[in-house]
Amino acid sequence: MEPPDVAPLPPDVAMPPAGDGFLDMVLHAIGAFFSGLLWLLEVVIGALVWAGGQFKHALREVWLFLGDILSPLLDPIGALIMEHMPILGKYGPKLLDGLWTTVELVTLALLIGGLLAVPVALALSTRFTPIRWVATAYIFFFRGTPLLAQIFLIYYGSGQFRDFFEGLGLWGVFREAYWCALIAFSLNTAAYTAEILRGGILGVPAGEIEAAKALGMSRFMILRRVILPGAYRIALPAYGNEIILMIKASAVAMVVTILDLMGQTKRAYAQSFSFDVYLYAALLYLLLTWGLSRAWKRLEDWMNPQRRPPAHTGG
Amino acid sequence: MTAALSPTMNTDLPVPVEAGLGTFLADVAGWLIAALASLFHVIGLAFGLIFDLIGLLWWPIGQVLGFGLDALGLVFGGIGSALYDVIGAEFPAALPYIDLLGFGRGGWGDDLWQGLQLTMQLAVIALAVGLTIGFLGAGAKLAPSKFLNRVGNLYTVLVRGLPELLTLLLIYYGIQFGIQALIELIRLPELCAAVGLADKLDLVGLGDGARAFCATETVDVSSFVAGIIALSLVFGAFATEVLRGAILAVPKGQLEAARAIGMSRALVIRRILVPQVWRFALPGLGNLWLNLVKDTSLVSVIALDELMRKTSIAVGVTKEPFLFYGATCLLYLVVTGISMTVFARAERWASRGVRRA
Repeated sequence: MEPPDVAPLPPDVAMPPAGDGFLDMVLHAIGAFFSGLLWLLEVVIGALVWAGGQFKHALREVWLFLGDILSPLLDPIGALIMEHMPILGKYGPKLLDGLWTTVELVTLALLIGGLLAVPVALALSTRFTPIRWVATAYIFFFRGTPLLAQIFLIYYGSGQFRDFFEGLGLWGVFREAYWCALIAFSLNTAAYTAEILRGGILGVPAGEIEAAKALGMSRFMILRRVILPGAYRIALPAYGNEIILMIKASAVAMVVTILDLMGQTKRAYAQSFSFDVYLYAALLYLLLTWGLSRAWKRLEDWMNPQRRPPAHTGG
Repeated sequence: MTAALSPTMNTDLPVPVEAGLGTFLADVAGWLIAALASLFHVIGLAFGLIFDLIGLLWWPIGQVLGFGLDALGLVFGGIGSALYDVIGAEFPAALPYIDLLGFGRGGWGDDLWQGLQLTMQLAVIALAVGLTIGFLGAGAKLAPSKFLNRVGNLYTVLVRGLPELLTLLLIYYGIQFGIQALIELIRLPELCAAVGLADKLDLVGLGDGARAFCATETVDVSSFVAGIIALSLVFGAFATEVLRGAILAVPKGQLEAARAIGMSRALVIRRILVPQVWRFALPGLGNLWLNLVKDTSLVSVIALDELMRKTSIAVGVTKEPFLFYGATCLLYLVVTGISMTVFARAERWASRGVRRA
């Protein structure tokens, strides 16, 4: 994956032509605000991409260093695999490469989607009807259509609005299949996560909040000490499911030529015509989802101290 | 029996003279297989007859329905053309796009409609098969037998941990490779010759079919069948969990009470368990149905002409991706929206008589 060029724009691109009068001034201010926001976003994203690249680079160095150190141990194993399981020996590294891409895509999508989900969940529970409708429509769209259609819509559909995106300086993002898939995944998981969050907030028993009020807690304190911990606890199992669903759904990135685990598998199959590669891929996916569900169980136990057996008090 | 002992038959056998007992056993096996094949053929014929009869009975109803649909089509066609004229007068720029989505010449509406029909067929058949698997799986997981529990667990863990796309490809290629490996393993042509299957089936006029079957070397799995198998397996695995949870959610005391007042086991299941299982399972099953409808789009990857693939073909020809993918998204939204309403109704029906909190 090559990060596209995200050259920071000067903050006056989207400004409307100058005029006079109060309305023009307001439009001016709004335009300046949004172009500034966009510019900031690009700087932030650019920095993130750069940091991610550095991290990957460092990780690669560590990986190679480990390989050098452990080569006396690993080489015979590698030779053994090459001799007895040539398909695994030949395509195994490719599959691991794809696994890395899958994990990277899903992690980024979950981070961005998780951030997006908070305002959407808040919009869902606001009393201001138009905003609530917008949020409801957003969730209805992303939960009611296949992820495949969403990716196609974003990846191929954006090509029709090339001039528009070029004007925004975003064409470099929408040209790349990787970023399109990331956008589709993020928007998709944001819709599901917003529902989960809302369910968690609604699931906090009213009695707990009333009790907190009766104790004289302030609203912010109630949010911090009662509602949010309760909501996280309630939402945690559902969010774990959502992560696993996201990992599984990310396999459709293959259709827009991304070489994630599924894409590498399909490619290896096309080259080798060996059914084994699908079995290896299945094993990797199973390891990923199974390991994650195990880790999530641990996390749930840690977040729910009331479920633990009581500690010995020496009495 | 005389036909089996005829000289033409014996020339087919690889070792006719020495292995007396072996020949006899092969002969017996051949007769058994031939009888089985004939039996299945007769069953198939009977089913064909039944379906023909059903079709005959439904024919007049179909005619009436068709007439009604024609009338409806005329009405909607009239409304449509009126709308078309209005739009043509008001927004002439929108007309080419409407033509592209329409049912006329150069329009892709009929293709999308066919794709939608295939998508719905896939989803409904997979729902029926998957629900059956789900009930069996829930039964296996709740059964007192440790072995059945393990089998049920293995099934749900495997299928729920794999991406649906990978499951689909595993099934699609797995069936092909599996059948091919099986043919090589049992050495089908030699086996056929050894038991003289074709000659025996000649008696009932099925010899040519048997010869074609015996000469099978490669198998092309229909993507429709592979799609249905994969989607049902996925739906079944999730439905197993939903139904298991729903069965466990029925309070034990109720079942014990029903037994205590003398209801039979079957009556307890019918009157106490199943009505409440529906109530607890319907929300989960509704979600699974929505997922199923969305997952049918994955079958386009193995080249089945359902809605998604028809759309991609239309995009390839017209170079209007946003229009067509947008329209397809709307179609999916219509299906999922209607499903949500239906399931909300069904949930209300299933929980009638339950006090609301």
